[in-house]
Formats: sequence, structure tokens, C-alpha cells
Amino acid sequence: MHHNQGRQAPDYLRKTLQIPEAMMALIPLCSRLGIISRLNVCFPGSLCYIAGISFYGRVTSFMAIYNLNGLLDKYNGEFLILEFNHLFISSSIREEVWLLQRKNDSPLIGKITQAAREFDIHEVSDERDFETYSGGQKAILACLLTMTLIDDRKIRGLKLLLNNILDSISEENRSKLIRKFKEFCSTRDIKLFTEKNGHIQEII
Amino acid sequence: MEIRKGKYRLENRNLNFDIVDDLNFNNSGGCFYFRGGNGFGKTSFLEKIIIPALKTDNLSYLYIGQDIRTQLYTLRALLSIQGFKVSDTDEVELLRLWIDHSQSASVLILDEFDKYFPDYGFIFDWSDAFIRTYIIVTHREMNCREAVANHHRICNARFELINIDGRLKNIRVRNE
Repeated sequence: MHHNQGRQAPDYLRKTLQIPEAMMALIPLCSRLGIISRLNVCFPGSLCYIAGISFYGRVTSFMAIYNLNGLLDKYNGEFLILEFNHLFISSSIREEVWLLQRKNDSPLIGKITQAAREFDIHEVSDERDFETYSGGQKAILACLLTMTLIDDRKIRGLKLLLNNILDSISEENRSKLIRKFKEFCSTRDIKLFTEKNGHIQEII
Repeated sequence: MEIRKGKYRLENRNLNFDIVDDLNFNNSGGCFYFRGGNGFGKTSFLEKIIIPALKTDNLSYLYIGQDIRTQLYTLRALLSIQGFKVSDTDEVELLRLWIDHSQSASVLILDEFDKYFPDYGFIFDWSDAFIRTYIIVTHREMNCREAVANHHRICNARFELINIDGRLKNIRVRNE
């Protein structure tokens, strides 16, 4: 890990965090003013995550995906959030898994790609750039990644909130995904919620 | 604007579109819906076929993409540069300001906007004085979609993207 405070924001941040141009321009300034308290860069090279950005409102969403144990400790009883606009922090399944597991976990990747094929995402691969998937496919992959990781770490008693996820998915895939979640949640004491018009609803 | 029937290939997405009939986004206005499965290329069809055709015809358009919350950061910056005080403005008001100050546009494209705002009739209220053509990508059922547009007396045409042969990503674009 590498402390990078106050330096020019690197180009790959824009790609990995999907921060718009105008926001990118603010990062060095915010860093100097102390608004960004830390900018941590993980290796290998193209991977990174940000901690302590107070102005980027959805940061909890993607931090949640990357540090499940830490999140559960810190926000006990709160929701783990999957939000359509911030599904991933890196650019491929391999990189996501590396961040989560701190290793190149091929069996875990295999489970995700196999599950993806059930949703007709046939050209899925560990190296394929997320930007080449459709929005709905990315939403499905994020759900599968989360389920696979929860299973791998034997996490139980979680409240999972899907925000703008199910509405991004076609009717057929939505039914498949909800069936998969039902089966998954029932044996792990996991509750599934969605947000609609500002209200959180328990669906499983 | 018209997109002629025929085959269109998008190399970088490995997608082949077969447009069965000419798509007429005619000058009299209307609301054109596109729907189809995940990965069938709805957004690619917008960005690689429809928007280039709009540019060719020099038609000014507004495009609200799927990742609206990311786009809103850009809108906030854009409006700030234009002199609006938007630091405490909510996302609906941001959109209203942007649309209200984009009256040179005649086409409005919404890509799955309804997943953020299920009742998005306000978009028509704000824009029907100058927008003649609405192009909307959605996963919603027909009755929900039509209810919103019919309320605003806009005639509908509906197109469906269907996968012809599974893995080869050959997509037929046809009128529903």
C-alpha cells in the first residue's frame, strides 16, 4: 500500500471510479485542503481504492463491496449496498477478486463466470473490461460477485440492499436473479432489500 | 431522421444489428421505445446508430444515460460554470435546470430513466414545448410505459431488440 496524499490524481482513477472530468479536477485541490484525508493505492498497478473522500457521496457503496468484514464490524446492523452507479472499483472480474481476496482466486472467479452463463452472459471472462458489458450485465455480475464472496467467507446475518439493480435487468433475468437470491438467502440468514421512491422494502 | 433498414455491425461490441424496417423518427414528433434483454445492445444501438444519425442530420439532442448519478456530477459542474448556484440543488432540480436551458434540442434520449424515476411524466412537462422526439430505453411493461406517454398525448412506436441465434450476438430490431 502506498500513501499518495497531495499528488495529481492519476488517470486510472477516472476509469476505476468513474469519476467525471469535473470531479477529477477537484481531487488534487481537495487533497491539498485535506478534504481527501488519504489516497491509498493498492498493487498491482492499475488497482486502487480511495478512503476518506468526504465529498463523494456514494463511497460507502463501493467500499462496502471491497471490505465486507470491515464493513460489518463498523456498520453492524446496517446495509451492505449494491448501487447501480458504483458497482465496481476496478475494471475486470480478476481485479475485483484480487482486491477482495488479496490473491488471484481462480476457483472463486470460476464460480462467478459459471453463474454468469446462467444469465446468458456467455462471453464472460476474468480479464474482460467491465465497460464492454451492458449495464444490466454489470448489475448481474455485481450480484454474483457479492453472493460468491459471501458464500466463500461464510458470512451470515447480512442485510443486502439492491439500489437501482433489479430495474436494470430484463424481466427474465430479474426472475432468475430473485430465484437465485431466494435460494441463497434462505440458508444464510440474509435479508434482501430494494429501494423504491426513497423507501426501503424487504423482498426476501 | 431516418435509419434505413439493413444490417449494421459494431465491431468493438461484437454485435450485428438487423433492422427489419426503416426506423422513422419523423418530424411530427413522438415517443419511441426500445426494449430487449440484457446485453442485446440497446445502449450501443443508441450510442452507435441513433446518435451518429442525429449528428449527421445536425439535430440537437439531450441524452440522459443509465449512470445518471455519475452524469449528475458533470451537470452540477456544468451548471456551476454557467453561473447557477447548484451546491444544494437536488437531482430533480438539476435535471430541470439543465433541460430548461437546453431548448435548442429537439430530441431527448432517456436510457432506463424510469428505474430512477418510475413516474417520469415531469420530463414531458418540462420539455414538450421544444422536444419533438423522445427516444426511450426501458425494461418496463407496455402498460406502464404507455401510461406515462399517453398522459402527455404523445403517439408511441415500440421497437424490440431480440437475439436471433444466442451466442453470435445477432440482434434483430423490429417493431413490436
